[in-house]
Amino acid sequence: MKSLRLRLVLLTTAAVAVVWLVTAVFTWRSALHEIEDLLRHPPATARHMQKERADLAGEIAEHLLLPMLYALPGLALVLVVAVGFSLRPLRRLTDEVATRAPDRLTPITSADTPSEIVPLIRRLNALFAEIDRALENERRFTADASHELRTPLAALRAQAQVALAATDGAQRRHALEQIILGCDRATHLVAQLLTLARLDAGTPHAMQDLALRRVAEEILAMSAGDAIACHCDLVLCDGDARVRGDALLLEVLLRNLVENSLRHGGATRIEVSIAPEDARAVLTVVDNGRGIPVDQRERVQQRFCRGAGAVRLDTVPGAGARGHNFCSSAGSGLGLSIVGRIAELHGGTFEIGSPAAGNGALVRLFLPLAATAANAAGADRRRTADH
Amino acid sequence: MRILLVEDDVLLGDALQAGLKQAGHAVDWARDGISAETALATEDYAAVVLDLGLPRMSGLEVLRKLRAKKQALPVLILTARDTVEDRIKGLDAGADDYLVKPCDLGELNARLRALLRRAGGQPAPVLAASGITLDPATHAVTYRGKPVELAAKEYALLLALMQQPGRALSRPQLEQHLYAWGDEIGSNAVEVYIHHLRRKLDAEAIRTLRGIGYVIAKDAPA
Repeated sequence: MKSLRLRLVLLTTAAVAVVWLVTAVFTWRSALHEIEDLLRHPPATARHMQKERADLAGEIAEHLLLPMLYALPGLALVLVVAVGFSLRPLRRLTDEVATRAPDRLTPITSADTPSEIVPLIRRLNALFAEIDRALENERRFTADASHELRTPLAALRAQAQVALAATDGAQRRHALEQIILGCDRATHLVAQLLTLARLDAGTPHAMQDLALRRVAEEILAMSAGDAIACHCDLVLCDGDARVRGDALLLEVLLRNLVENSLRHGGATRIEVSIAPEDARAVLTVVDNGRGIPVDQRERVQQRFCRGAGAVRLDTVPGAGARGHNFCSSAGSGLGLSIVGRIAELHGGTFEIGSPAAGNGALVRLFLPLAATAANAAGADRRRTADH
Repeated sequence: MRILLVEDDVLLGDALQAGLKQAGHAVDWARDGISAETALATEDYAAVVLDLGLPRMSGLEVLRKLRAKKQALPVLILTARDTVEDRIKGLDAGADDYLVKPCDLGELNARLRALLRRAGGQPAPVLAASGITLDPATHAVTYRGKPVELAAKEYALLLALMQQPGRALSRPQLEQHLYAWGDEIGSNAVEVYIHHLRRKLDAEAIRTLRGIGYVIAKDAPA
């Protein structure tokens, strides 16, 4: 009996049927007795007859009522037991959930789950799986983050020790400059970690219709100083598209893309263009730097993964320490994760490629156009409401 | 001693290279697994300081390949991975020591000294032969009880000879100990340093075996 409803109905019906049957038998027997009595001593007069009839009806009614009266408490007792019995699977389920440790998010598997609760359990299990995934992400993220922070800290400590032990001024100066660079890098890493953590937390975003070009203008203007320091030209091509989005987040996204080209690409020219295409807004950032090899394009989008180019990998190692500045500094390994997450929050995607001619990296970001974005969001809401 | 440093982080690598140089080592710095493998195949190192998370080929892979070639070279893993499982994995893959970042440069150097000592079959921390004593921890050198002041390269050369007393080392072998990639090597630099050492110690302290190399005589067992 998998169904709770069926169990209750069957048990109640059985109990009522038993009481009913007992009453019927009782009434039948007493009526039989009374009628025989009446036949044996038929009433003499019409008045007697009338009295006898009233008596008989009264007796029958009484015999119908009395057993019911006695049986009712019994019936109630039976029902209490029956309901308790029916609800036992529910109680077992409650116990199972209650004794669960908060970190044990395995699916609930109860053999005799009432069919009424099966959908609830399915939903619960789906929720558990989702929370488990989120927790696992969090755990991995924390582990990765602490791992990533260790290296700059180790570098700071070692550089400080080198500076302390240095015997000549130039060496000490170099080590101290490295310490400042290391602090800048750790700061950048922490800022990126915070950005990603906020994005992961799914903080509500101020979505509005906006021109992508305004975002690009803002960011390219902000990056001008770094670009000049890296001897790199920044170009914003003609064209615009309106999207529905959070201006601040889109700025973070674009800054990460431009910084990637500046930091790791070794580019001398970065071109940003915006155009509507197939009902989507396409933002393209293309540079003429080293580019990202095809086999690494998937990998570099993972958290804390840096492309081989990102660490200025030389095939002839040991060329010695070189001057480091923003243009050649290692990144946090989070830039493209941030780009991906922001694109996702806007219902968009991005892809890494290479320019049609020459070497370099090409990143294309696809976002729904402003009008379609609103429609898509509406459809999304409707879909959610259907569930 | 010539050390191979394998570290992909530019800042940390720079610091470690400088720190190891301060301790008197010649240091080659490889920034990824493949470069490390190439360096190990072509050069002769006294020890390796190895990071695990490397681009192109992981540190563990480099280590396994090195051990598969039956190379006994001391390897010290220096990594940010700090769990017990990671340490076990690293040591079982053939590492001789395991240090977690951030570490103290002094400790790193001391551990390297210990590894080099063991690799050279020298249990005593202070090397002694032919009346010369050399303390790798403090770089203090004495000859017949009197302290001797040595320049960095002279010290490195003496250390190489003292680590295997009784065994002759050729000029190219000694150059391997003295110079890292990119260092200028004078054509007769080793001869010059040997000359300096003989002047500071004793003409007899370091012997020349014609056509073979240089040697410091081993003390006769007491």
